[in-house]
Amino acid sequence: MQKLIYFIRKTSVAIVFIIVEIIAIRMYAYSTPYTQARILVWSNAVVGRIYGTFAGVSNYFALRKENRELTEHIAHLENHIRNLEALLPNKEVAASEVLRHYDYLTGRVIASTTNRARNFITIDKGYSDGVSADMAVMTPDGNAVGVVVDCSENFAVAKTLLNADMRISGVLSGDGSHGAVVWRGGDAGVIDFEELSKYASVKEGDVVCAAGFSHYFPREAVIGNIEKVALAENGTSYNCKIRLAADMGRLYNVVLVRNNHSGEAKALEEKAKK
Amino acid sequence: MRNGAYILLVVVVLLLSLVLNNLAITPLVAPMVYILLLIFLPIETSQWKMLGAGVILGLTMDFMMGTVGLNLLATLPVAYFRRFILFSLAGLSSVSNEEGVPTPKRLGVRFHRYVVAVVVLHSLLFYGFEWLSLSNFGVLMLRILCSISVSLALDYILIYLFSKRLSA
Repeated sequence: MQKLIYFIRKTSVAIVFIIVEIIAIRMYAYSTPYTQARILVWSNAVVGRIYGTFAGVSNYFALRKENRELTEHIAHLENHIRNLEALLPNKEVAASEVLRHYDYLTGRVIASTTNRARNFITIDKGYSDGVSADMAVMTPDGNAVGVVVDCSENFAVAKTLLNADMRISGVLSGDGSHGAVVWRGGDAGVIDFEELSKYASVKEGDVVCAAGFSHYFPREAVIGNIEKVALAENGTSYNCKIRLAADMGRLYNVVLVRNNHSGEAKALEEKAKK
Repeated sequence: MRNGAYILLVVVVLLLSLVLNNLAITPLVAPMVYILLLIFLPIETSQWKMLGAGVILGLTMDFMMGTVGLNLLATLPVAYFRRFILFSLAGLSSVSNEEGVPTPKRLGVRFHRYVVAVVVLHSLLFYGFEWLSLSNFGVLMLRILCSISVSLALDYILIYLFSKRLSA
């Protein structure tokens, strides 16, 4: 018995080390994007002000470029609205249909990562501003960035397209073929476009947009341009590389989009599965 | 003097970690400097205290970086094996009864072996586990090499700035 007590005393540090290490590995193995976002939301309650100060300084230096881009975008949208108005017979009805489908909010990115396997951004708007989980995050010029995973009163955390757990459907503009958009690591400006039918007419430079049935992004949200086309090893589909349209390392202002029909569509899909 | 310098080091390292976590250079470089807080703990620190410091540091960094257990699982073995690294890899003699904060002045070349071994062990665990979900092994190795190099460069800047104050 004494020998046993002596043995336990001698090895107690090692035993505690092994137990805590196993707990840490289990915590990591069973973590999900949601638990990660939850922790980020908590930590933002503590360090959000520091992040806001850093973001304020870097935003100041980017203001000139950002203003120029926003002005150009407003001019482009003005032209677009004029052209659409000229085409629509009943403007009020059409406008209310569009507004009912999507809610738009603006936010500022105060923290972001691009150098992890699972990258997130923190936005300075929370549920008190009307932000909720599953809202799409886009740049002001309509490029897809990510999806809100969780939010607190004043902050929201979104997983970006540069997240190993993120998988959305993309559609080849023009051709209409669908594929899976997923990030495999490496370059923060390049993402994979897989499972694209080998009968698709795809070439370098083609635009890939979010497929409407992902329920997150509006159909016209641009993911990027095809940079490289290659047949998959099994020869039944294309695996392409997409140069992302959104510059994930330089995100300042973002637009949050809520699809008001997504809940209804998801409920219907769940019902159909049963 | 030593306690004040250590508190200042903790503040600097935590602020630097926040900045580095949000620094978007390239996914190939993700330096971390917080392991320096364990490196600078006095040589005579008991294994229990080292383990406690490892748990606190790992959980704090998990909280700040929004990771779940990743920093803890990488930091804990460093805390536990630091004694082995100091006495075996870095060649510190157990009979020499050396005490105090490990600094280049106190340990000489052995200090550099110690720092490199700690940073490499921590980086291998952190990046290895982080990239388990990704398949690109070549990118992983490049990322580990680049991150270790930049981490060591930043660590040595802090070592240069703080070692004198900590050993006083």
